[in-house]
Amino acid sequence: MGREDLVIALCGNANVGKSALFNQLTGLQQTTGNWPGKTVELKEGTLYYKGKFIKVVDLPGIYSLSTYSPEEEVAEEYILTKKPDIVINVVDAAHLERNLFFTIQLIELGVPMVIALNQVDFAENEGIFVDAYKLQNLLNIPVVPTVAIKGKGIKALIDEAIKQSEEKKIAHIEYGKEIESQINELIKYIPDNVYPTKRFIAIKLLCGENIENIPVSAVQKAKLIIQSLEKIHGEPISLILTQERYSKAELIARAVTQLKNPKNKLREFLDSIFVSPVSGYITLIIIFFLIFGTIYKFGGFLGCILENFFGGFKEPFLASNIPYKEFLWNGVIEGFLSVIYVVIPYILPFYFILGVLEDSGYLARMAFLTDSLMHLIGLHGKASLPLFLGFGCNVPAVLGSRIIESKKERELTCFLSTLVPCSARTIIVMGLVGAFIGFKYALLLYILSFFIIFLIGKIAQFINKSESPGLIMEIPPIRVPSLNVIIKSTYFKLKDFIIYAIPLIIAGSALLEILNQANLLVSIENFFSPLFSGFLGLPSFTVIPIIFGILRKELGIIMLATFGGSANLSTLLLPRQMIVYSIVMLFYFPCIATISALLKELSFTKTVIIILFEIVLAILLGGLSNLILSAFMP
Amino acid sequence: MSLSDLKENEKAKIVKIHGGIGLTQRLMDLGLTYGTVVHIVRNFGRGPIIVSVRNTDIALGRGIARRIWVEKI
Repeated sequence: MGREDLVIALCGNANVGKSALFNQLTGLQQTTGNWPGKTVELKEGTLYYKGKFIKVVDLPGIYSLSTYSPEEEVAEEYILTKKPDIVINVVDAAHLERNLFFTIQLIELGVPMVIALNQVDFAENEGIFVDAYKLQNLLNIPVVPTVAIKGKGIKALIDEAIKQSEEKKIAHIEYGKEIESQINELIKYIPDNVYPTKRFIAIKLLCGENIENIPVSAVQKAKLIIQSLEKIHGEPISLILTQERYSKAELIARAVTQLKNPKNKLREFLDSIFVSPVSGYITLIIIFFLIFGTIYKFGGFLGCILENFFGGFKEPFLASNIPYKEFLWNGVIEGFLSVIYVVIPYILPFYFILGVLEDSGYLARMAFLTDSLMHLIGLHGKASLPLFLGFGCNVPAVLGSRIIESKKERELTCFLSTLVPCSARTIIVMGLVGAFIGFKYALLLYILSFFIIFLIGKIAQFINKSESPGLIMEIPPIRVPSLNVIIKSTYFKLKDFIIYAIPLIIAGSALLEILNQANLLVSIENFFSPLFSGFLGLPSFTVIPIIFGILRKELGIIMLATFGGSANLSTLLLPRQMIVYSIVMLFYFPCIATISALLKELSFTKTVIIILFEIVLAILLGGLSNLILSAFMP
Repeated sequence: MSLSDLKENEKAKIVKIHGGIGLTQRLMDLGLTYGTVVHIVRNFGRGPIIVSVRNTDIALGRGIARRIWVEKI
């Protein structure tokens, strides 16, 4: 990049329609990247408007700049170090007071700003009328009313942003007398050449932060002020400032807002169903099964069609004269197809449904209802969706864990969701244990899975020790989701994943095929057979199907027949061996698609740790069950 | 009394948050500053609660709600 004429940063609370505005501004020209050193996403896009190339950056949705979550740090760092020409602060007209609190903090950063007063139509439906002109005068910042999802006010917003980026006017907010006099006192000690403003540095110092290249006299003066103020108020200055900012926000919001009778009683009615001790859980279970049914049934159905369709090309391809055809088919095309088989049937509907849940506001309600249950394994309500979806496919489960803000919880959710028996593993368990030993035993293996997930959750809770602060989450108003927003978000998320996963999965399958063609698989089989026959009690031909299960878990049962030399699996494996084999397949290794999802969400080291842990877990559990089962099973 | 003791639709004024600076800051950032009037939207008697603060609904884990001291009005 670097060719743009103008850089605009979008900044604001979560749930204010910031992404919708970003989509309106940039269309399909978007890229997603991580801020160096942190797993915080920054979306960038370009806009060509009136002869100017404008770069638009979507900063993470946050409520303040004072609690130092990674998202907040990234937003502040971006504004202070990248110095965008203009910041568009997206403000939700229906929740003006809380949004203005954040606006006030942005003003302190001393950057030129424009306010997009968004969702004005929704606010008016709720009986909230905001006087944009009055707000503009009180804040001394241009305010443009918008309805981002409908594209209203966008042109006016861009025009205003361009105009302000040239004028570079900076607004100013004053607090109560007591704190103002102290800030002004401290400013005298701060040199002129600081960035962005002396006032900003003074406030940071008062909040007890360390700032480089500040004279000792200023730091000492700040300490004196902190001591005296904290003595009077009995609490840290950062809290005093927060309250000052809120009383300012309250004052402004009340002056510009008019409340009339809301037209919309439907929302209250819907919430009386969705969020209640009885009907809430009933609808939750119905919705869970609808989602699961869609992804599982529809996905399975579509997967079959796709496999039949593409599988039909295999014979003619292998019969043709293309050089290296076997390697090309097994190593490259199969790898590519396995992405298709996962992405289209499972991830596409998942992202779509996730979009509906997020945009309608139901996701937050779901988290609220399942919070107590998730507490059992040291997680919060938001983890219930990814974990539940893991039953269909682990890939969307891992990717879906992104909805969880806390890093530790997100990582634990990723980890636990790879242990949820996905549909492919269900096929193995049902096809072996369910078909040849009995449904009851298959169910027992499922229960074992849940127990292990519960146990690991408990252990992780014990190790983390730091008592997690519990659920703090906004419940946005329930509303009809916007199809436009959902389709776009599905498209971008899907694109991101495909670009990321395809090379990894093809590399993985190519590697397996190279091993196969170089006849190295036999040596691998020989190498592992002592462990298999000794500890696990499994015949050595099971080594290869287990390895190929890395590519796609279903192969773990399909290839048993190939390598065992018989389609009747009951002649190949004893009941005890079927159980042990199923247990190993349940736990041993996430498939390549899941690994690429893990790599996308976690660091490389953590992904490797999860893989190694699961290998050890699978072998231990398999060996243990072999030991126990051999006492009373042949 | 604490926020978790209130019943649905009851109103109260926030008096004090008994938590570390991190938790207090987070709650205040969401608008739960001292003196703010809130009302309880949902309280099932167990699990998290939903509280309406500054026209926004916020879900709080019960453990957190217990640390927020309020005065019923």
